[in-house]
Amino acid sequence: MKNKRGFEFSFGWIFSVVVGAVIIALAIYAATKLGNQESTIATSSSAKQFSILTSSFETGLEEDKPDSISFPSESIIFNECSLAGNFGKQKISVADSSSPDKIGIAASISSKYYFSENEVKGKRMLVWSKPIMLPFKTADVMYIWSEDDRYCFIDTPKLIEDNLDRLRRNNPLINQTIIFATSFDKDNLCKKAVDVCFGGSTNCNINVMEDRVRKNGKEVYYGVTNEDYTLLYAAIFSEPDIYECQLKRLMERTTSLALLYESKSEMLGSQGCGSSLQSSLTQYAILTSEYNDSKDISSVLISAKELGVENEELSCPLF
Amino acid sequence: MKSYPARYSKAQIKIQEMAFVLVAFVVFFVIAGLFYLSLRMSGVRGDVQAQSESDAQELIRTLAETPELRWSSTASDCEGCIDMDKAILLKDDKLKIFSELWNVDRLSLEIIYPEKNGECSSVNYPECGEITLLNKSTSYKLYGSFVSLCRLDSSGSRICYLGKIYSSAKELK
Repeated sequence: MKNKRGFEFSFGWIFSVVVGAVIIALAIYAATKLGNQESTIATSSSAKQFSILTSSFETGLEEDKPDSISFPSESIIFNECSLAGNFGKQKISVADSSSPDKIGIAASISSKYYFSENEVKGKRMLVWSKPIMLPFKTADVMYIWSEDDRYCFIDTPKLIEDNLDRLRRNNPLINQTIIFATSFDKDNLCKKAVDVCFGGSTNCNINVMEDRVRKNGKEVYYGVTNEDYTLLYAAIFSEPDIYECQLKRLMERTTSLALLYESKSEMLGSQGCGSSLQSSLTQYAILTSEYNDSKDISSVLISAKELGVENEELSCPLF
Repeated sequence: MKSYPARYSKAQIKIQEMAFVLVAFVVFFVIAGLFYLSLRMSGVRGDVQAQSESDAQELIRTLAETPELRWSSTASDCEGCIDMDKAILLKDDKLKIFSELWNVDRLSLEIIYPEKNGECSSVNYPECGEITLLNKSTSYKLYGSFVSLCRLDSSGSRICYLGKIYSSAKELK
């Protein structure tokens, strides 16, 4: 008997509904995948562009002149340091802060040294580059922080304050992100800022002691003879693990450069412009190749200073 | 022998039609998808190549300040000059590890004036015209920039030549 109130669904209908649903589901899946891929391409490209742009901050081109790099929207930079290869690798990746889990492919560079927190979030990033002399120029180190970060330097020694003050005068963004205070007015001046305390204070985010910096519960050493404070700033602005890793990479490069200067000394000697620095350079290369962690930095800095003095006395200085 | 012609009901013919339409749909979407992907991939490839070229150009701009090549003798300052003595030493096998620092396929220095010829080696240096530090590929687009190439002579004084740095982007395979 025929049920006249029922709705007849032919096979053709059922088939087309099921297959249509599958096609629509596949189309949605493909569109989502492609959308994700587009965002990965964009963030990967940003990371690469960031690394290329930081080249113009290298000293010689822009001596001690911090500046900023802007992203199209608020982003997160992920700083990663690896010890793979002869000189290690600086890896940097970027994600849009609206979707922080979609991290782009990391740009990997062997010749750069970024000192920063693991993640730096903001639309404009400040980059300050300084050469590191051990005693020859080993590399340019770069400190990176965001325009949204605030560092409050409390009871800062005069030399460091003058040094940072010069930078603040040249750049309004630095002026906005680096603040000076004393232990008396810090509660008023250092609101929502990372406290950087000098000389014995312990109740701060970052404590700077005679030869070391305590940050995030870890201690890293910057040495006492680092007169231009390159390593001190590195320890302040970077995550302790990144600091240790970058210092190890810098030591690897110092070892190779010491061997290069040793070869140069030998070559100049054969041309009649001899130098007696070969054995000192060999010793120095051994010392830097045996470097383990920042506890060894003081001995490296002392040897570097002695090597620098020896070099200045040469008739054909090597560096 | 008696032959029986195939007889299909109306419904069977409709199902067959639908199957053909579905197959045609799938084939169309696959072709359209492949076309889109190939266009997109060539775009991405172009972007990567462009970034690689920016890398090469940036290297030329900064090479004279890299510690491995910069003029470093404190006896006579020469900003932006390249130390040829260091450059020739970088060709030595034990110092070739430095090539890891430069993410390019070709990197070379050439003396433009006074004119000199031939690839430099430890035997003919400094009487030669070119120092090739990296040469990983044969097909490349070269970027060049003028630079002062300097060395120390036996008396310890600086001799400089007008030179050019050449660099090429890493080629996409």
